[in-house]
Amino acid sequence: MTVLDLYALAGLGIFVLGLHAVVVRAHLVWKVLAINLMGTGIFILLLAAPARADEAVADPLPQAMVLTGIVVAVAATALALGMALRVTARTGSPFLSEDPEPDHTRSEDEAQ
Amino acid sequence: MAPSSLFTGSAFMALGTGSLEPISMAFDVVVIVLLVGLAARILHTRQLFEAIVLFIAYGLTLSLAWIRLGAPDLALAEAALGAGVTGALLLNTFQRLAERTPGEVDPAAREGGE
Amino acid sequence: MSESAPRPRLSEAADHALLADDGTRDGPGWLRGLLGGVAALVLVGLGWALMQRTPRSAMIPDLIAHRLPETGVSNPVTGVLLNFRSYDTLLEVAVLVTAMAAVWSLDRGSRQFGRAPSEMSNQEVLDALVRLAVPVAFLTAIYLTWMGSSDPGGAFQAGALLAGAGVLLAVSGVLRPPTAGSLTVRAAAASGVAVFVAVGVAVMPWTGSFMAYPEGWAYPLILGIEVLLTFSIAVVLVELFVDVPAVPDPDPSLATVDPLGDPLGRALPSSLPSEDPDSGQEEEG
Repeated sequence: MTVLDLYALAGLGIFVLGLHAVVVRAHLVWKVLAINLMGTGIFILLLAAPARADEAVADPLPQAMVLTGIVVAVAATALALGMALRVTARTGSPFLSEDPEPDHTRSEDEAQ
Repeated sequence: MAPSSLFTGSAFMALGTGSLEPISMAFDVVVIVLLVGLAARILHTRQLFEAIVLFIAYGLTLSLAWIRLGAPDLALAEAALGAGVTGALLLNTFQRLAERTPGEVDPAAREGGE
Repeated sequence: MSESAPRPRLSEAADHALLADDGTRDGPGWLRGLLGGVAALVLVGLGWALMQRTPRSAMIPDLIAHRLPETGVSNPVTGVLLNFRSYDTLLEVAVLVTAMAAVWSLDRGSRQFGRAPSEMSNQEVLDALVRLAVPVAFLTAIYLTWMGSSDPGGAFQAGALLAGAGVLLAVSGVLRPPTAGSLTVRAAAASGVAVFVAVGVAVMPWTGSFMAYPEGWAYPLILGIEVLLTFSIAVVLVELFVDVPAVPDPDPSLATVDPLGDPLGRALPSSLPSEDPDSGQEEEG
C-alpha cells in the first residue's frame, strides 16, 4: 500500500463523506460545502489514481483538467451561495423545506 | 524558454515513492489524515462559522497535497481559488445570514412575483 | 449598510437560528443511519475496485512531453490548457462569465456592499493591509502570468490573486463597486472570452481550423490570451464576491435599486442621490 494508494482512497473517502452529507444535512450552505468537498475528493482521485500505475511522471493532463475543475467549482459555488441566500430571503429559513409548497408562495401562484 | 528544472528534476521523483524516505511518507500520512479529518469535521459540525473556517484550512491543506502529488500549478490555484475566493464567498454569505432576523421574509421578494 | 439589524458579535453567532444547525431538520435518525450504511458500502465497494491493479500505458504523458515544443511553452500544464485543450479553457472562462450573469439575475438590486468607511471599525488595520498587500499582489500576478509559460503559474492563478487584491480594495472602501450590469464590468468580463474566440477565428485563414495556432505564433498568441484572461478572470471573481445577494430588505436609502422592476437593479432615474456607475469605478486588473 503505497502513499499514492492512500491518496486515492482519501479522495474517494472525502467524496463519499460529501455525498452522505449533501443528502443528510438540511442547511443549504452545508449542502454547498458538501458538494464542494465532493469535488475536491474527485480531484484528488483524478491525480492520485493514474499515478499509481505509472509513478515516475507528473502527468499534465489530469492537472489541466483539475485546474479547470477548480475554476468551475468556484463559479458554481458562487451561484449556489447566491441562490441559497435568495431562498433564505424568500422563505425566511436557510433550511431546505420539507414542504413542497411553502405557504406564502401558494397565494402568489393562485393569484397568477 | 529553457525547460524549467521543476518538471524534470528529482523534486518530483518523490511522487509515490514514499518508501524511500520514512519522513516524506510520514508527512504524506499526516496530510491525508488532516484532509479526511477536516472534511469529516466540516460536514458534521453544527456551527456554520466553524465549518467555513475549517473549509479554508482544508483548502490550504489540499494545496499542500497537490505539491506532494507533483502539481505546483494546482497548489497555486487551490490556495488562491479554493481557499481564498471560495472562503471569501462563504464568509460573505455568513455575514449576510448573520445580519438578518431569523424568520423574516423579504417583502420585496414576496410581492415581486417572479 | 441598512439600519435594520445590528451586526451580531461572533460570540452570539452560536445561537443564531440561521447559522447554527441543531440537526432537528435533518430527518429521522434511522434514515440518517441507513444512509450512513449505504455510504459506507459504496466506499468499500469503490475502494476495492480502485485497488485492483490494472496496467496503464504511459502513452498520453509521453505524447505530451514529445510534442510540447510545438506548443510554444515549456510548462506542460499551460501547454495542455492553452494549446492542446484550448477549447476547454475557452468554455471554462465562458462558464465563469455565465455564473456572473446568473448571480446578477439573482440580485434584486440591493447594493449593500459599499459601506461608508466611517462605519467600519477596523479601518486602520484594513488600510495598512491594503497598502501592503495590493501592490505586492499586482506584481505577483503579473509575474505569475508571465512565468506561466515556463514555470508553475498561468492566467488562472494570477487572476485569482488579482481578484484577492480587488476584494481587499472593495472591502476597505477604496473602490466603490459599480452597479450590477454596468457596461464597464460587462466589457471587462467579456474581454477574456472575446479575445479567445477572436484569436481562434483569426487563425483560421492560416491553418484552416478553429484555434489552431500557426507555426511560430503559438507563444505570442498564448501570452496575449493569458494577459487578457488574467484581467477578465479577476474582474469576474471580484464581481461574484461583490454581488452576493443581500438577505434583508433592499434599503431604499441606498439609491441604486428598483426592487420591483429591473432584475439587474439599475438605478432609479432622478429622485435619488446620484451614484455615478461608470466613471472610473471599475475594478481594474
